[in-house]
Amino acid sequence: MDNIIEIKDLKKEYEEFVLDNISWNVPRGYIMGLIGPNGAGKTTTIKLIMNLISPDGGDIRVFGLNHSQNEKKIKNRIGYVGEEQYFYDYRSANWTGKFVSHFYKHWDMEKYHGLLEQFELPKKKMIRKFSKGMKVKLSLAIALSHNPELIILDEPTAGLDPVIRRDVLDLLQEITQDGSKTVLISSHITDDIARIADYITYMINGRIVRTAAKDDLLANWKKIHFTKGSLDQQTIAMLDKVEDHMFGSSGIAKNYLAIRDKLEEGLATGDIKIESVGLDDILISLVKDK
Amino acid sequence: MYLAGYMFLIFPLMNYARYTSNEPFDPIYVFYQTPFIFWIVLGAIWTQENLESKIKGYSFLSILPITFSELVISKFGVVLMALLAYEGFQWSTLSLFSTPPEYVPMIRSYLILFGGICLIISGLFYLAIFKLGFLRMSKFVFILWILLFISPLPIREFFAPKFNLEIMDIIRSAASLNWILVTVVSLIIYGGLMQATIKLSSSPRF
Repeated sequence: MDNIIEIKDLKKEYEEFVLDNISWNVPRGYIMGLIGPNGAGKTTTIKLIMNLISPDGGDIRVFGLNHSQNEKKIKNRIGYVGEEQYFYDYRSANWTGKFVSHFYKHWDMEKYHGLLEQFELPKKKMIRKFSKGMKVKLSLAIALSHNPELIILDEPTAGLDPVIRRDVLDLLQEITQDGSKTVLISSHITDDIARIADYITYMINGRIVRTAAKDDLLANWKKIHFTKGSLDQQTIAMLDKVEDHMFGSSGIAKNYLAIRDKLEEGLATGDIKIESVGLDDILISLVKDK
Repeated sequence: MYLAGYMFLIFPLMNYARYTSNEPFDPIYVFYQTPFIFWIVLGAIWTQENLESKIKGYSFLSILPITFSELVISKFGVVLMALLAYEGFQWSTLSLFSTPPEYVPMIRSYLILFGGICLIISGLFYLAIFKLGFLRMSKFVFILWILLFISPLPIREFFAPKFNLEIMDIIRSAASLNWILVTVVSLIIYGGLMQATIKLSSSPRF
């Protein structure tokens, strides 16, 4: 598979946090969701990819290019929306578009104005009078108006109301329909990621703990409820977080497809029940494992 | 705006007032007006960097396809252009209007000397700001800016009497320097400071 971002042994040390030799790839043409609790290292990883901070070790290649030696070329092909939105906020969206257009090779002013209208953003109002949601939308308009191949969004929906959140996610899905664009989106709101992502990466305590296609992940992670004696010890041993309760026991299967055959009999008699888990449950389970 | 305000409003008014006063030319006027160069150029830098710091302008620029060296070069370039514009303006207003021809070379050298000093201090400001951050440097820069602006007063009140110098002697000795050499040396040091700012900055970004 062709990777748009390739990270090898990336390291960044802070006083109270270490990004610990992570190696990770983002496949081209898909939406990759980066999930992790606060302080997991998602923003640090994204800032390193954007060359906003310098790594203490390792290698980052974006579009196959070394990210620090080809910063300008790479940024011309990336649309970025950060956790916080910074602008010359005493200026208008109109001015900002003109200003930014000088830096991008493929800036499309018509598209920019189209997006401002689509997002119902005032063109002449000072940006400092914009709400948080309006600023996120303006960031998105800038990020999308130079036809980027890669869109990187760091917690873009944090602090947004549900209506605007839905709008933003719909737009992201829309622009990736033809497969020509790749999206890397980080969030601790797993519902957002679950809605749009093709691939999921879990990051905990500065480490990548799991990367998989979302469908594979959800197909393999199941919660199994079973009565006493309905599962053999070998199968129970393959479950995680097994707990006893008044109706029997429950545990999480991390490789459900591998044990599915062993559950057929219990499923038929009703002694075993399978429950789907969400990305949230997986995150909690992975955090507890750590 | 700040620079334009001084160049096209305050100084023209000052020079016009002098020109229309019908009093004989007094070179001391140049002694007091020239330090305005610090007020204008360093003030413009301080004001701009203060604004960038407040609104986190560099965070905005950092996501755009612009390298740190390009940003530094543009900052240094703008200061050089502003200084050239100021020097040109002062030169034309002071030399063309009511200045006796014998004073013209002296005024030129004096202006260029101050321009050179201002250029080097501007370069040092940027080096300090990019290396240590504006917030850590702002008070120091602000105080230095004020001190340079008012520098003629301590020179007149303390320095000149102590060494038994006349203000005109100071102007003459400053103006006796080779103005071409002063220009070249100032530009070389300024270029060096620009390179140092690019190389020594603590972050690859802003």
